[in-house]
Amino acid sequence: MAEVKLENVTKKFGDVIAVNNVSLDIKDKEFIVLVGPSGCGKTTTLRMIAGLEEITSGNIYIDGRIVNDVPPKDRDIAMVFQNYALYPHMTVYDNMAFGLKLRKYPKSEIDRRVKAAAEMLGIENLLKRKPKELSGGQRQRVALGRAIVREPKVFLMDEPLSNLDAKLRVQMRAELKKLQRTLGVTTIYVTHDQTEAMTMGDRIVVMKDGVVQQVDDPLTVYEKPNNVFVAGFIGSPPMNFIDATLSEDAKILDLGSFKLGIPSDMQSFVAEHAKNYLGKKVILGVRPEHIYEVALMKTEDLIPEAVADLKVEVLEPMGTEVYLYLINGPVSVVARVSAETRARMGENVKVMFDLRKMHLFDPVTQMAII
Amino acid sequence: MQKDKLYSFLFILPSIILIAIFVYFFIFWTGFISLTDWNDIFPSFNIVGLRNYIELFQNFRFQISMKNTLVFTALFLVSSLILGFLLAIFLDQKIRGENIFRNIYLFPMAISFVVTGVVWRWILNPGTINNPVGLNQILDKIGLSFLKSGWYTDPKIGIKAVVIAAVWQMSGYVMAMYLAGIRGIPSELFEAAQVDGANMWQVYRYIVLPLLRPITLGAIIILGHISLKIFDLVVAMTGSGAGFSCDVPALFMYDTTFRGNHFAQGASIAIILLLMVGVLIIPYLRYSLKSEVKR
Amino acid sequence: MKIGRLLIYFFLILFAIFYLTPIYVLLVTSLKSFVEVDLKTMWRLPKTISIESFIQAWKGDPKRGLRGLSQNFMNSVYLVIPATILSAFLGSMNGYVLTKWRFKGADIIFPMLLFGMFIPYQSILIPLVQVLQKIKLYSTIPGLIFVHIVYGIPITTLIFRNYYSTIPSELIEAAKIDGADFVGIYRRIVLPVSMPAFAVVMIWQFTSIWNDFLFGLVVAPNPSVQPITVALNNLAGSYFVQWNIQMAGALITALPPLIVYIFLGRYFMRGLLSGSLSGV
Repeated sequence: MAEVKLENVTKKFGDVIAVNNVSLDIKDKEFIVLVGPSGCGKTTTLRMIAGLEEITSGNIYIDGRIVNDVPPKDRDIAMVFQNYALYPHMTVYDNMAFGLKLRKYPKSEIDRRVKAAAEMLGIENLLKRKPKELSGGQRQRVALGRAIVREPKVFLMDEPLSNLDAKLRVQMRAELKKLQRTLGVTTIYVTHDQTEAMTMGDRIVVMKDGVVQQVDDPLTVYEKPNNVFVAGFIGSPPMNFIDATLSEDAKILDLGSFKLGIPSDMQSFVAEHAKNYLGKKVILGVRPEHIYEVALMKTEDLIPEAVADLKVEVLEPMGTEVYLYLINGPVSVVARVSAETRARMGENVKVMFDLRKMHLFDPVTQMAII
Repeated sequence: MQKDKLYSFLFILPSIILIAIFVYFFIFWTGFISLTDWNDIFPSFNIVGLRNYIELFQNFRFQISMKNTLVFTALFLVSSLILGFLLAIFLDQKIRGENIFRNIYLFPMAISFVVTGVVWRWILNPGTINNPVGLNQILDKIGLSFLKSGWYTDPKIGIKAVVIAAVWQMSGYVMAMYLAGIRGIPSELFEAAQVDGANMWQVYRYIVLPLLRPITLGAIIILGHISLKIFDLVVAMTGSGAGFSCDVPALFMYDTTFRGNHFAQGASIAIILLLMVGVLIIPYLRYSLKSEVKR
Repeated sequence: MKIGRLLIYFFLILFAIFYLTPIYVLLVTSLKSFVEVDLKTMWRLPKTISIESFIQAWKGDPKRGLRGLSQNFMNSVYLVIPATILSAFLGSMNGYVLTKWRFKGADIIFPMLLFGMFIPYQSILIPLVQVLQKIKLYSTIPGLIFVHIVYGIPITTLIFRNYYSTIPSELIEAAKIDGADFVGIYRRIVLPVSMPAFAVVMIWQFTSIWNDFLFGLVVAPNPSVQPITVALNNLAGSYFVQWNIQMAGALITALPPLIVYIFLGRYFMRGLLSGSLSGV
């Protein structure tokens, strides 16, 4: 059980900066998820914590001890790899026991731990098999088991679910989370899948180009993204971004082909928080679920100033809901509406933009204004 | 971490040292000897400049052996590549007993060149006009008497007869390389080409052959360097032949150095041989290692 | 279409005959008795099977000053076994370091090693003889073993390197985290999964060392240490040795690699293809 701390950690591969000045405080027993597109430095960060990659500058602490020059085996960590990295010539039992054998644990203790972990994971009946006789999901469990038996201070997981099929992935997501709760081991989990990050992490670290963009709990990241990148990366379908101009009096957003009125009770809030942007260009961010089809709304919810008429380009039924790809001049947005929608492909539809839930970003720095 | 690095270096160090001495330093040493006057039993290291090379290029036997090597290499490469490729594409036609055919074509690769030379020496023994033996006897029997010849005993043919034995030994290898290459082409490509309306011939011409270019290049390199260095086969089959018509530089080098004790002369032949192989190999090594880095 | 396939089979069978002809000659001639041997009837099957020629080729005939191949056969055996095993291990160690412990300069070292595979050995023979004489290994079997190990380094390293680069590096990393060090990973993880590569390398080295002629000729001039290929060449080069004895000798020489080919052809083929650098 341990805290993990990263202090201005930087990694360069030649001239390329893979991880740039990352600082993180990971609490004891926390499940923290590093998420970002490929090449964002999340895996490199994990590998530096593991000791598989040397640190160019900065410090890494595990349980208060600087581990910069400590080899992986002495960091008291366990790692689960994307391709599981099971030793092909060893049985499941030996795969799990290997690390303990090397650490000269007594046979009885090894046996106890392996059996306990196998029971926890429901793989007791597979202990004598070789990895190649296992299914993907079973291999995954063995890889987890190998980490569990070590009873390490920290679990490091590098996209452990990405080689599973979609259904199994969802199931394992919940199981893994439960397991982590039970064991209470600090866990650092890397994924490129924002859904995994949202559903599993106590906190999420969103990374891009080696730089940490935001560290927060899932809901905060979703509702208060720091910048355009985080706003666009978290959420599916992604947030709509529209170039707009904020009027001097903070009452109107001009989207080019049409204008939206800011609800009267929002205006003073906008005027205060976006006072440097009055009369200037901004980026308007609206999530697809915050664009409502007028025909399906109750009249008392309707704010007529925020209604616009857009043409339905494509209509994607998803079962309980429908994605509408809407266009009007330079504005093109996705709306997530109920399956009862009356919209038809090629026809126009009236939608209301819920500006109470809008985000505004600086068009140059891309940082969130509100 | 540091200890592991040290161990990994210690693991590879013996090989580095051995290759540094036994390949690179030895080549350097041979080069040095080729510039000296060590041309009898007793070592002598007076530098004489390029005299050995100048004498070499004026040497009648060297000229013939160089010409022979080029003729041999050209004929050997062309025939092995064509034969190997044809066998590969024919074997790829869902042939019954493909395994048997493949094993028959490939087994000569397992045999020593010396054995090959000894056997082919007898098969290509022409016999006499009235008493033809070996291949000539067969040609007589099947009515192809006009193809009879003196083979390696005829100075006009000489080294070209050795090509037959070399092709016998190595063409199966080319077949195996091409066959592995063809089997490595994803079947979707064949299917796509067929859907696009290509006939069998066009599929091979426009899809298979271009995709096999790296294999052709590899085969040229492998056969080429074996061919430039060819020694065992010639020694066992013909020796240097009538009027040196079967001579090659490797054999000339051996005779000069270890029979004639002209060490400096021999060293200069060895260096020429190395240069010929180097011209072939070094660009290829650079090319394939570079493309590997890209991958 | 039918005719096309027929032609293909015709072509394939024609060449099968071409490849088998020398083996036919080897077999029928070596199995003929001395009275039956005649160049004019070389294509004929033996009337009676006789192993006289094998016995003579193996034991020799001291009365006529004919040396048999038995001693040289055993020389080759004593030479090929240690040389094959040792060079395989050396290649495995190199391949392990070059793929899993890449250090600065590894990119230079590998092609430098590889180049040694292509050089004409004539370009190192003179210094080789000088050095072997100095260290008293000239014209000895240990000397020949040493030479084959040294010049086997490039090909064995190449094959192991190509094989090890297919082992995911995560396996090594998992072992590092599990607590294994450099030697531990090699012994417990890498070696146990190397058996296919060892098979390929050992078969390749066995065949090429057994079949070597040049090193045997130059490094082992003393008949009592000569490997079998050199002895066969001497046997076949003597004018007084009957043709069927030569053929029996050739068959004896060819037999060990042929047996390997017949029983382990799959690995032999893989060795051939990796030797062609197709993996590079």
